[in-house]
Parts: sequence; C-alpha cells; structure tokens
Amino acid sequence: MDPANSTLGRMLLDEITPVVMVLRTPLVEESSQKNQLSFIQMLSPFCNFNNIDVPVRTASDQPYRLKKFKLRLFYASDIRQPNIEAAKERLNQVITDAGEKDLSNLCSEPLQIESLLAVSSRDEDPINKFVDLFNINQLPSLLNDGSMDPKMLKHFVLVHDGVEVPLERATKTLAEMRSTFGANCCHLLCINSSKDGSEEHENLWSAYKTDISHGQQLRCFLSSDDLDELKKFVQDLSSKHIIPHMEQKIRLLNQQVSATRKGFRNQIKNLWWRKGKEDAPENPAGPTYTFSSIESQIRVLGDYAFMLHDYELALSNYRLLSTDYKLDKAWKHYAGVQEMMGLTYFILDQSRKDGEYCMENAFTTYLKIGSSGQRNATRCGLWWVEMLKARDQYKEAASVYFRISGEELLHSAVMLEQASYCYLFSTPPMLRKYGFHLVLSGDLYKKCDQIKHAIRTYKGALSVFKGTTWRHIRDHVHFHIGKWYGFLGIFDVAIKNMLEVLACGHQSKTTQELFLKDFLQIIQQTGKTYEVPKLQLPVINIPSVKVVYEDHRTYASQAAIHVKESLWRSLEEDMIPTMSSKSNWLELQSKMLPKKFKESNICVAGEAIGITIEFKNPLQIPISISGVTLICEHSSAVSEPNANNSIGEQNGDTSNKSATSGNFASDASSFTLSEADVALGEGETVLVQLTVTPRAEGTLKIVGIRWKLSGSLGGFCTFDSDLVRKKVMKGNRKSKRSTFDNLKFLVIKSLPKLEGFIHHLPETVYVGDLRCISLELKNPSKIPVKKLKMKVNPPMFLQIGHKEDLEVQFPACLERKSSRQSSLRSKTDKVSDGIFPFPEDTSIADGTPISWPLWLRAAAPGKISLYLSVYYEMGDISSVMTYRTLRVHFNIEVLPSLDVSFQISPRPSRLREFLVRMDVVNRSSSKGFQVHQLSSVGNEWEISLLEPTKVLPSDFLLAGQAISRFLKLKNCRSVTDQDSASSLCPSKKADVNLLSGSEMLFDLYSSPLSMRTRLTLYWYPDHKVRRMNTQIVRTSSPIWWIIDGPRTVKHDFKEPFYAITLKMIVHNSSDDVVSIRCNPSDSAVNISSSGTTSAASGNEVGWHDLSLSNDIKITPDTPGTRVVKPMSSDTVPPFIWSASSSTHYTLEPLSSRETPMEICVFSPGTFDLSNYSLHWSLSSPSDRGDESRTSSGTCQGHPFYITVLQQD
Amino acid sequence: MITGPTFTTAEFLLRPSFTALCLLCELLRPVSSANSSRSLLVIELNLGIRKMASTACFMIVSRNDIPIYEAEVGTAPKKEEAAHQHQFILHAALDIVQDLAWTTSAMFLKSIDRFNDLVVSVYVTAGIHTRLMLLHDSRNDDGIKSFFQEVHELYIKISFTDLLLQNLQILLNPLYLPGSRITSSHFDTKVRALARKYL
Repeated sequence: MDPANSTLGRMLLDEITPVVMVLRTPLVEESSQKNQLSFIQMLSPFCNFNNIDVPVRTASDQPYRLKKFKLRLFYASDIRQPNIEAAKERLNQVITDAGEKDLSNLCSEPLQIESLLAVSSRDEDPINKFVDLFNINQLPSLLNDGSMDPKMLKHFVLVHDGVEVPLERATKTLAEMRSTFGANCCHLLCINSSKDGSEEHENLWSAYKTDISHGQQLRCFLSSDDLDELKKFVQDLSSKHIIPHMEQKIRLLNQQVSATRKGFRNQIKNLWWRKGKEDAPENPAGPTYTFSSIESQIRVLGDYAFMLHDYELALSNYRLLSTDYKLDKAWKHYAGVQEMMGLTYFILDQSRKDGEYCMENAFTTYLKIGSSGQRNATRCGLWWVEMLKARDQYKEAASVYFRISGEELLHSAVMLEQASYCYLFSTPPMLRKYGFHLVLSGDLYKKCDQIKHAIRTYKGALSVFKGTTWRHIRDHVHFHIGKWYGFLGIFDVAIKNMLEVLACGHQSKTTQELFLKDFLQIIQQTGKTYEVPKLQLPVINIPSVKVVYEDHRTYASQAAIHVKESLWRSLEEDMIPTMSSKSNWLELQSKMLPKKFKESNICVAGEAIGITIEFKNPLQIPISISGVTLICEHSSAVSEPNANNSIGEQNGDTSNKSATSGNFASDASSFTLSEADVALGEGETVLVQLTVTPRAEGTLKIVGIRWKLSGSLGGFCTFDSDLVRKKVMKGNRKSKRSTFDNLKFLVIKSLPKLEGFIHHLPETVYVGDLRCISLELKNPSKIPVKKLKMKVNPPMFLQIGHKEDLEVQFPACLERKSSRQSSLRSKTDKVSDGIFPFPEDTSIADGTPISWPLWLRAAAPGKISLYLSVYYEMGDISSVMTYRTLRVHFNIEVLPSLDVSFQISPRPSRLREFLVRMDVVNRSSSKGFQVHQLSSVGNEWEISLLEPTKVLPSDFLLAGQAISRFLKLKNCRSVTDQDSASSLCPSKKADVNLLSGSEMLFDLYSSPLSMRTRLTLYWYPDHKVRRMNTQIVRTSSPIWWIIDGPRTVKHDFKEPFYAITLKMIVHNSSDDVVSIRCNPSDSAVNISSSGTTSAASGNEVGWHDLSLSNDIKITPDTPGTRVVKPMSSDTVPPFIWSASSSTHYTLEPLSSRETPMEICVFSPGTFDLSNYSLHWSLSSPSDRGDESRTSSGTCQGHPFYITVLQQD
Repeated sequence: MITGPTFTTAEFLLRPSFTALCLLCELLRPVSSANSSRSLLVIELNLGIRKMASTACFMIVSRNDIPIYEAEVGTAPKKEEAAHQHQFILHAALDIVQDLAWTTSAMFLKSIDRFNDLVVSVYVTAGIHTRLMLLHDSRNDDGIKSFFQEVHELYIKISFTDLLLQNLQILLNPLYLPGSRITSSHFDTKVRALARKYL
C-alpha cells in the first residue's frame, strides 16, 4: 500500500504544509462578512491544490514536479502556541455534543474525535520548526523573540469591493502599492463585484498558516468572475511566490549546512564543540535555539524539504539533527526530530522497524521529560498508532493506545475506546479484548460524567458479552448499563438490562441486595407499574406446571387428583357404560362441536381449572410476590357447530378473541381468576396453586402467568409450548398432544357436579376396628342427577352399608335383641361385582345432601389408601356429557391391635366336639383392650368356655400382654334345624361372653359384615367395639364317628380269648344320604399301607388349614399323618375284629347310627383299635353341582386305646 | 605453596554454587551472636521466596470458554469489586491464549498477558483443551508451574469418573456438551491447599 494514500499519509500531506499568516484591516473583514464569510474562509477553498503541477528543484539538481500542495491560512492572532486548556475544553465540548447526538453515530466514526484532537495538537507541529515554543501567547512575541525568522515572504493584496468603490480608484491604489512594495508582490483581488461598492484596499503579507474550513455558505455577493479571480490569486500565490521562495530557501540552507556540518572535518569539529558544552549547567527544558542557530537552520531545512515532498533530504537532515540534540540533551527537540524521522520513514515506506523505533524513542522521550511532554507524547503516540494502523498492525496499535491513556480521565477514556476498536479490527478479531477495553473506557467516561458515552461503550461491550457464561462479567455490564439508563431517565431500557442481573444467585448477598435495591429504585422512579416478560425473579419452574381440571371425571379432594389415573380406571371399569365411556360422549360431542375442538380438553363452565406452579427464589434475600394470577384467553366461538371449518376458524380468531385477561382481570363474565400472594424466603421454593373458572361456553386457553415483584414490577411468563411438560390427570390422550393444546380447553355448558365428603373419618384405627363412616353427596345444581352407582376399593376394608345403618347407634346396634328380624338382610341388597347401585329413585339436586353409610373395617395393619368412585348420570339429557364420576380418595393408618391364634383339636371322647385354645396377644404399642366376646358363625356350632367359670385372670389386656382361653366347640347341627337352615339363624350358644361382669352380647348378624368368617372375637378398646374374624374350621368329610366302649377291662384269661364289645357311633353331617362301609382289618401291614394311600389321596378326614384364615395355628389331628407302627407278619395280631368283617349301611342326612363292634383279645395289654377304615360315599352325588365336595372317600380310624388287664 | 581460596562469610553466601540446601544447613547451624546478622539475612531471603501472592484468581475454563471452576486464592481480603475485574482480565486473556495455543506446544504459558500489576499465566491441558488460568501479582514462576501441574492432576483424578460418564454420554447423545461445572467441595479444598503451598 502506498503510504501516501493511507489515512495517515493523506493527513500528513494535508497537515504539514506551509502556513500563511493573514493580516487584514477590519474593512476587509467587513466586506467579506457581506458573504457571511471571514476573509480566510473566503480564500481557503482555493488553498488545496490536488494537481498544481509545479516544477521544483531542491538541494539536488534534479527537478521534480510537485503534484499536491496546500496552503493553510491563519489570522495572525491565531498563530501562537495552542492553548492546551482551550483544546481540552474543546474536546470536552465535542464529546458532550457528540453525546447529545445519536449515540451510535460516534461509534461508526471513531476517528472524528481523534482527528479533531489531532488537529489541535498538530497545530504545534509546523511551529515546531523552531522547536522552541515556550511561554509564548502571541505571535508578535513569537516573531520578536527570535524563534522565528522575521524575514518572511510578504505579499500584498488589495481587496477591491466592486460594489462600494469604483475600479479606477482601486487600480490607482494598486499602482501606488506596486511602486512602494515592488511589482511582484502586490495583487488586486476583486470581490463583491456583483453589486456596487466602495473601495477598500488592504495589505496582506503572507506567513505560514491556514485553517481548513470549507466555505459551505452561499457566496451571495460573489460573482463567478470573482471566484475565478480568487482561485487564480491563490494559485499564483503558491506557485509563483511561496514555492519558489521555499526552493530558494532550501538551497540556501542546504549550502549553509553542507558548509558547516557535512564532511569529516566538520563532524569532528562539531563533536568536539558539543563535548565542550557538556559541563555547562543543564537547562531543564534543554538548551534554547534561535532561528539563526545551526540546529534550527537544519530543522527548517528538513521541514521545508518535507513540505516540498523531498523526503530523502528531510530524512538526512533530521538524522543529522537528532544526534546533535541527543548530545545536547535537548530531549524535547530530540523527540520532535525523532518523531519527524518516524513520519518520514513512514511516508517513504522504508524500513518499518526504523520508523517504529523512532516513534517509540520519541514517545518514551516525551514521557521522560514529564508533564510538559505529555501532550507531545500523545500527539506522537497518535502518529504512531496511525502508522501501525496503516500497516494493519492493529494489535500493536491497541497497545500503543493503551500506553497513551494517561491520568487524565476523559483523555484515557477516548484512548481506551480507540484501543478497543483496534482489537476489533485486528485479525483475527480479539473480541474479548475489545469488550474489556470498551468496559474500561466506559468506566472512565462514567467518571467524567459522560454517561451517554459510557452507555455507548458498554453497549458495544454487550455485543461481545451477551449470553456469556462468565457471570460476573455479564452482571457487571448489564447492571451498569441499566443503572446509567436509569440516570438518563430511559427507564424501559434500564429495566430491560437490570432484569438480566436480577437472578444472580451466584453473587454475594450484598451485591444481590444492591442489584435489587437499585432495580426497585428505577421502577419507583418510573412512577408506574411495568410489565415485563421473562422476569427472572422468582424463577418459575415451567416443567413443574400441573394442570388439574374435571371433565367427566370429578374429584372430591386434592388427594383424589393425585391418584394415578389407571387406578381409577380399573376401579370404574365395570361401572361406566359398557360402550367405552369416552367414545360415548366424544361421539356425542363430535356431533355438536366443530372438529378443531375435538382435540381440546373438556371442562365445564363454572368449574375451576387448577394449575400448580413452582416458584423459586434464587437469591439469598427474601422477596415478596403478590397478585399471582393466570393469563387466560377466552373466546366464545363454538356456536356454529356445522359451519365450514376454515371460515369458522377465521371468524373465531378474529371476532371472538375478545376476552384476554391482558391488562385487567377483564371480562369477568367469561372467567374468573384466583389470586395468590407468596413470600419467598432465601432460596425457598414454593408451590403456588391458581385457578381459573370459566363462566361461559367457548374455548379457554391458559396463556401464562403474571405476578408482581415487591408490589411494583409486574412480570409475566407465557407457557411456551416447548417448555411445558404438563402432567394432566388425563389418561391416554396426553402423550400425543403438545402442551400448547393441553392448555386449551373447550368449555361446555355447566353441568351438575356431585360433591362428596366423608364424615366421621378417623385418621388412625386399630386392626379389626369397625367404624361407620358416611359419605355425603351434594349436588348444588338445579339439574338432578340420577342412576347413581358406587364402587369401593379395597373391599376388605370398605363396605357399603344400608341406608338404615345411618340411623342406628353404634356399637349399641350390635347388641343382641330379642327379635332378630331387623338384623336379617334381604338378598337383594347384596353387592354384585362390588358395584353398589343406589336405590332407583335416588336423585340429588338443589344442594340437598344425601348420606350413605360405609363400613370401614381395618382388616390389616399398615397405611391404607381407600378409593371410592360414584357414577352418576345427568337428569338433563341435552347436556354434552351424559354421565360423570366422582372420585373420592382417602388414607387411613391402621395400627396393629390384637393378635389371635387358635389351636383346635378334636375332643377324643365326644362326638362332634372340639377343644379350642385361643391365644390373644396385644400387639399395639400403647393401647389396652378388653376382650369381650367370641362368636361362631352359623348355626352349626356352639361354643362355650371349657370351664364355665367366670373367674378370668384379667379383663384388661395391656400392651404387649397375652392371654389364653380354652374353649370347646360343638357341632350342633341337627335335623330339626334343617328347614330353617336357610335363615341362618344362629344358635343361642354361638357366642361366649369373655368379659366378666357383662351380660351384653353382640349380635353377629346385625353387624354389616359378610358371613365368610367363622369365629369372631369382639373386644373393647376404650368402649368401642372391635371384632376379629377368623375362619378356622372346615371339614371335607361328611361323616363324624367315634368308638365308644370301656377303656379298661380286666379279664382272667382262663378262656383263650376275651371278647370286648364296643360300639361305633357314626353321624352324617351332610345334607345327603351317605352310605358307609366299615372295614376292620386284622393285618397291621394292611392298615399301614391303607393309611398311606388314604393320606396320599387327600380324602382324609380332619381339619385343614385354610390359607384364608388369618393368624390361625391349627394342629390338625390327622390320622393319615400318624405313623402306625408296622407289625411283623410273623406275630399273631394281638387282637382280631370278631363281630363281622365288614358292615354296610346308609345314613340319612343329619342322623346318627350306632353299630356294635367286637374284638377278641388273647392276652392282656394295651391295644390300639385304629386299624379299621370307613368308606363313605354320597348316595346322591352332587346334584347341587358343588365341585368342591367329594362324593366318596376313605377315612382311617381314630386311635382308640383299650387296656386289658390280667384279673387275678 | 598453594593455598585454596578462602572465603569470608559474605563471599561464601554470594558464591554462585551456593545452593538452597547449603542455605538451609547454614540456617540450621547453631547461630552464634557473631553471625546473627547473617542468619537474619538468610531468613529474610527465605521469607521473600515464600511470600504468598496477595492477589490470585484461579479459574478453569472449558473448551467452549465456559468457566467450570473459579476461586479467589490470594491472601488479600476479598473485594466485591475485584471479582468481576478479575473475570474481565482473564476473559480478555483468552484472546491471547487462543493466539498462542497454536504456535507453541508448551502447556505452561507464563505471563502471557498483563493488566497493570496483574499477570495472567495459563496452563493448557493437552487432550481436552481445558485451560487453567491464574491471575496473579507475584513473580514466582516455578511455584505457579507446580501449582498448575498439581491442580491438573487433581482435575484429572476428580473428573475421571465424570469423564468416563461423559464419554458414555457422548456416545449416546451427540448433542452433549462436555465440561460441566465442577462443584466438588473436595476439589475446592484441595485447590486452596495447593494455592497455599505454591503461590
């Protein structure tokens, strides 16, 4: 790149040019001012020659043509050392002015400020030809004190105002001037010739300076001739006077310099002469040089050469000079020369390194001489930066800018900003450095109260730091921008930026407080409440949003909502109409509603849709949130069901988007919203529950949520479709639909809705506890509901009672009464498949509640969830939904109470009697119980205490205590009972009172429970009745038998054998005729084998453990398990059955028969008479179709021991 | 007659071959009143070496320029203002690291950037291109290097299981971005202990 074409090169060519000093009389100025121009302004447009094409010959003999040339015009009073303070003020002014403009303007033209500064600094430069500008305020002194050569080229111009003065007079004056000053240096300049004017004439003598202001105003008094003349005048001035003068001067000076300094001899002399001066006391400002001194001459020579573009000559002279100055320790002069050398190197495009070295040298030297060199250092630095920039060395340029920035704040701010731009332009762009330096400069701008500039730089930095994960940086930038905008009163932007830093959980507590405080302050200053999207305080956990609404499923309580849908579905499976419930009403809907709504959720007008949202406070300071509401849109666009879809939709969208709860809780008619206030502590998370209740039919869309922070700032947040993963208590449809749709509801006409409450619900109960709780159903609507059905789960714990149960007193109702009729229930009441239909005529409306009893029986310990679902149909057929279900859910905790176990063994000596041992352990942790009554179920059994004593060890069973009772159980089934068997009338002896001092007995059948259990224990804890049901006995054989006879006989055995007569009593306990065959066996081996086979066949008589029964330990006296000692076949059996080998007979149902038996014994001893078997078979096999009953079987004999003693 | 060079105590101390070990021996030798001034000098030297950095901000920056760990480990009382300034300086220094990382294979890049008195040294890990950055005002290069090496080891150890998991996740999920924030308090205590030891 040609250095002359770079920015710096052009600037050098523009700025380091000859200066013309203009002296004029006031009248000249006056006539110029007619055109609203000063004299200089009038001339300056013509001072810039881009193609002047003048041949120049400087020191060398080769002439060259100067293409580009420029003059700068200055008034004499302006030619002086520029006032630094003035420059500063000016800079300040410029910056402030710029700040008032569009802030981004400056950003795009960063060079403007700098160039202005450069201008003001650069003014020094040509004056520094005589680098000696101390303490001079006025040009005359500058000329007089010898730092400038007073013998300057002079040129006299007579300005002729064509309007006021006749031309003749002007020419006459000109002639006079020519005679005085010489013909060459006088000129007549005609202006304002377009009007008449008087004559004015002026002396102008040229000097060295100019301004670059462009005459932009209209030259109303200047004709085109005048303009031509002006142009010609200036061109003549430069080409015929100034340039030749400069050439001449260069040649002259060059000769002088060559004479004194060039050549070996001169150098030695010079060196020696300088050396001699070394001892002289050092002037802090360095030695002063007058214009006539050789150093000044060399400098002038160099500068002239530079201005006439003879850079080689300039460079050689500067080099020569710099060593001189260095030896003289004239540091300021030295630096100045170094600076010029650097620039010359640059414009020659030679040796970059040397150029940079010179600039570095100059810069450090300026800094070394202290504060007076500061501004020069700045100027030098700027040249240097421009040099680097011209060569694309932006990174180095940036570091130079950074070095230029000194103590002065505003100055540093500008420099740092420039540095940041350099980082931006460098390749690759160093964006982070860019941002950092912008922030640094912004801080400095702020310190100088240049808030707008500060904001501008920070905004630039923001483009780098936006979205950064470096949180301190992001917070710092946003916070300050926000704060400063707040100062300026641009609150919306301020708030926007402050919002970014609000959720600063990582900052310290004090910083958080500061952020929040400043933010609220800005909000207060605005004086109104703002609404902002994406307010980060508090943090809203959108995935946590849960929506609860009721369509055909309604919920009695919150607890019911959180139960899994599948549970409800399995519960309601049988209850809801056989044709899949959903398709049923959906079909119905599809007839009534446009297609597009088919996918929507259904909700009913007047019924609240609940939303649960998680609010989290990320800060360590508490915040208060108020007025949390939902934002909803309601449109009533479902009126035309059969309309063309597209049109219908459009209509719906345009005309019906009426009610948005945008700014107010407007349109209260279409829906109502709930409002919540939350106070969030440090880092707290709170679940907020909100509801919206649609009032009118149509579609309702939940758009988002709004809230107020600290009572002043409103925030809102929309549920974006991507973000929400809503958990609706909805079954199968939710998976394939986006949440966006899920928050859209189709509101249908208001329907009756049952409300259900459970009364008298205990929280904890003990195992076996029996409670009557009541379900209250209420329908606030006018429309009745009918066809109620109910199902409960688990049925073991919950049973549906009877209407009458409500009136009875509990537990008094259980007491045995004389008449039994009321306690017997009709079969029709029985629940089929667990579904309980309410009476046909049940209809609920108008808020009148009906109650229905439920029996709660704590069957097993643990935490039990109970479910109850009520199905009902609308009385009004026109409604969209034909039925709804009410779901009730509650939990109870069941604590352990009594643990009961039974041991039952047949009583050997009695037919149809058993011994029962009952062990009761109190398992509860603290509670004591009284055992009251033991009952057996049905009319087959009588139960009584074994010893009919009333003296019991303790009535009251403390925690952990155990008691045992011995009871006998007797089968009392008889033929007489047969006709009344179906009535299930219990025998009077089925109950045994175990509580001393109480004669009250409970009636087993008045209790609402089923008959599946056989033994029931009643006990009291604190005067409430509990019961324990135990199923213990079951026999698989229909016959009972016993061998009766003497146990001990004495015989003298004088006869070889002795016959003993026994009898066997066989009882048929079944309802059928049984044929029985008794098979006595003599062979012990046979007995043994038949015993095992019968055991294997499983048809043995005896007691079986039933898995249903709880906590029962039965030790059944099963004959099959008894090991019969095998006898050796050699030995004669100790006894033989003598009466008959086999008997066969039939037994009527429920009858007994005695058969005689006889054995013969041969010797004294003890004999086991169990080696017989009974074969039974039902004569009329299973006309009842009872599969579980066997029709025949073989029973082993019970052990019966007979002892024969030798009679003496 | 040849006699070996004799040293005065001062010369002895100033001998170039005089190692730190000798210094220590000197220090441990019973000090008589005569050379007490010398031993005092030694102690001062020692203190000069062990002086801890008054400002030191340590950060681990992941490949995506996301800071995954940060700690102020200097002895100077923590200032609110300093936190963001340190982040700014370290963040800006990433530009330099970016430039340098491709020109050198060295892991320890000492004093690559400076801001006023604060110097940035960086340790670039080889494989996953995680950068350990330290902003410090001391000139104890050896200590800093050791510090970096030990923290790097620690980082590898502590994130070994994490890395395994991450690799697994990378396999499973192509959108996974490695380099999550280090939240282990164990790591934090260790780093601070290392800082006390070396800086």
